[in-house]
Amino acid sequence: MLSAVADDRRLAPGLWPRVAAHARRPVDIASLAAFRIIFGLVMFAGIVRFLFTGWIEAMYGQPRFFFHYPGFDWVEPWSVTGMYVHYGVLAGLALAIAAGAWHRVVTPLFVLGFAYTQLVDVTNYLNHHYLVVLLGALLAVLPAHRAWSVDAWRDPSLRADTIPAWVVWLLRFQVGVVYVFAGLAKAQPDWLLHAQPLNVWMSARTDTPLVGPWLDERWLAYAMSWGGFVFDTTIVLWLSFRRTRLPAYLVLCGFHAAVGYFFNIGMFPFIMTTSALVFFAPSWPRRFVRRAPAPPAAIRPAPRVAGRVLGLVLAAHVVLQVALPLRHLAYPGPVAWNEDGMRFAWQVMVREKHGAVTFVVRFPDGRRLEVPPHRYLTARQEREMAGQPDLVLQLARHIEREMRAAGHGDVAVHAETWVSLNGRAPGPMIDPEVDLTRVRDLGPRDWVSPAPSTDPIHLRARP
Amino acid sequence: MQSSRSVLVALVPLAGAACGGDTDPGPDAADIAFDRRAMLAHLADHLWIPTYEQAATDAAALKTALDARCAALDGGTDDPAAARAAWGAAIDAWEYADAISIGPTSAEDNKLRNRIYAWPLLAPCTIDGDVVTRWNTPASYDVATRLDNARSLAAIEYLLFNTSATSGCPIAPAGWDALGPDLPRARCALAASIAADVAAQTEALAAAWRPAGGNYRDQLALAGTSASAIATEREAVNMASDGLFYVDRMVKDMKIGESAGIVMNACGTIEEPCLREVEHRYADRATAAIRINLRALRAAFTGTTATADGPSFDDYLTAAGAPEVGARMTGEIDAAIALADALPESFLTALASDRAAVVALHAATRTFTNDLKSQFLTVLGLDIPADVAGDND
Repeated sequence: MLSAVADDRRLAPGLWPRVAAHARRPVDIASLAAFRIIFGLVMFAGIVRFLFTGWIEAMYGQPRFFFHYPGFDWVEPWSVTGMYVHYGVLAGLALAIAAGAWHRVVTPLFVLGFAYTQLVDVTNYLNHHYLVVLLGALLAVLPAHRAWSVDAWRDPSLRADTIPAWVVWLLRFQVGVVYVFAGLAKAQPDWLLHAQPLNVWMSARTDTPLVGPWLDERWLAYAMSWGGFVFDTTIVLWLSFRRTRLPAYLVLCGFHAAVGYFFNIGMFPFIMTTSALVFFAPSWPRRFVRRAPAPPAAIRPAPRVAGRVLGLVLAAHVVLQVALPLRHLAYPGPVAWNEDGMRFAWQVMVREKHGAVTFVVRFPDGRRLEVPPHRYLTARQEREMAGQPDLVLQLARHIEREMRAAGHGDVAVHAETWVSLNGRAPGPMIDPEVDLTRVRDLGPRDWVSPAPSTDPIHLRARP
Repeated sequence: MQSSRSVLVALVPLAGAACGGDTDPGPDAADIAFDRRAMLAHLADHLWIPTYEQAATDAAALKTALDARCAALDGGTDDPAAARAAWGAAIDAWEYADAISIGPTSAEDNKLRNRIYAWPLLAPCTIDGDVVTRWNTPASYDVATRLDNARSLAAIEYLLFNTSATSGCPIAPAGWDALGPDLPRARCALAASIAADVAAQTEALAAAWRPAGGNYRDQLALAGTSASAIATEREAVNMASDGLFYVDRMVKDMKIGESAGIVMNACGTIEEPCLREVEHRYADRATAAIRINLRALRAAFTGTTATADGPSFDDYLTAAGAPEVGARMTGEIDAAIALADALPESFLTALASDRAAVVALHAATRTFTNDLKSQFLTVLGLDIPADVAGDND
């Protein structure tokens, strides 16, 4: 096997030199090329699905107000027709990624174009959309086009049989980060001690064929909560050893199939099951590709794919990918309540939040006026905002600007929120006495009310 | 490290829980059988169907009353009392239906609902133009081609209760002044035409629920089976729960909040009434409408209707293990009803002289909708109305 041939036995003494040498050793490029092809095809399928669901109108056409990420206030959606064209172009780019055509141009364009669809409105955020951006960005800078691609076919000088091992490691790290931090996010009492929110979600699905009658059983919610926790936190380990890899991957496929069946999580199962293939030996695709070139007898040195600058950028990326999911630890209170550090942190499916928000404008002369969010937001946006304090803050500031523009002067805007987390009795998420026009969302959110101290609800199974 | 600590805290007691099973009976020890299809069947048989049948009956009676009034006017007699009473009965029946409507009524962006009662859509100037058209060239007037804001029970209210000879337009429509003493007859003729349409639409709505008609009743009650186009029981329950949300936007925000200047309104008034936002401002019947809306809400939430007491959302909450939520929300509706009952019969009077009572009613209504939009949805695993069934993770 190529990996065996490539095994560099002449490692320098000392840990770091040995690791560096091991990282630079050439490995088969096949798994990276396959990753690129599968990623492109999955993206194409996902985008085509999106085009035919009517979500473009709902997400970009209906809203009158869009929530922005800090620093991205300037990002606005195209017209609805423009957004259809945008997604159509993304679908074409996804196919081009799969084909490996103009990789160095097409993949960055896809990443930018996809990121744009997310930057338009924070309520569009999904963990797996963030993962698409990350994986796409990595593909854009990695030599994924040097085999099984139009680029390599057009320009033979690009062709490579091998890549440095660290390229595969980097992809494994990226996929592994998702699992590990999604697992750690579940290491909290609601998930482990109360089986929430799974108990709530599953109890609502008792009409599911075959398994439905058991879905409101509390023991099943506990079993699935703990199973999910153990799966997420350890699956990378099992995928890392040759003897456990295949059974672990089969379990992984079953896990994602089950989760995808029960919950509306879109392309997430497909992205994860295909991405996890990167844990197999780098030459795994050659088992399935007829006429694929046999592993070369003499291995050419892996091409140099990263200069010092790119190396530093990738190293920073690795550090960031570890730091971002942990940042919520720097803030007081549970992240599921204050949402401080919720995004970009693989806090996957850990909370069920519903709430009501009413903005209250207080005028200098003492009068008050209520502003219901539906004046600005669609039902979907309102639902998303109700559980996310920073979004409430954004709309409060927008209301303040409108009031000022209408000549009302120095108004205060408060938010009366009523939020239920994982079925708890609802309570105020934001201190109603805080004037949100005076709040700056930096550091701990002391304007967010303390998390409820009660336990989440325990639903009863039907007799 | 918060997460690590959480894991340790979690592991120890869970080991016991995992070995010993779930021994904590908690507050939900009693088993209460609950069948979602039975709940939907009960609500269909004892709430929606009788309500729509009543609305159809009263709409037909309104048509008859208006025909009689038009005939009396042609004979030189002008007593609008009977027609106004018939409109009152028809609108009362519809207010009850409107507050709990689901299914055929709300399909196609509330197409049928708006044809029966389009409020807040109302265009007095357009209606005045139609008065002239209908009077001068009856054959050219086709109610089916008119916009919602110029037909429905709202337009009939305007035609029946607005006695001013001045048109609602900045410049009177061509032919308006020429109507002269025929104006009451012209208004009545248009009202009768619109009433015929309302009667036909309410009859169509009632038929859509009847077993011999569209049998929407079975669509709901047999959801999740091959006999229904509704894929799951949960989807059907979600549709039923959508009806509860009428109270949030229509009652709390529009009928009470915007009218009283509690909520941002079209007039731009703050803590001052906005009369053009007041429902039934010509008949001054908004108080009755709010009371009826809240009573319909209570019937839908508790399953306690005029003819039977059966399973509904409060029982579902109890069966799910959250009896306190159902009890609390029922109490909140009752509190709002009590405040609505204490309002003056004239909502315009309440706005002018007892705004504090209106503010209190608004707050009480919001207490209920806060629970409706938070714990209610979570416990029953339901979605808010008009939400997009998008992806999640």
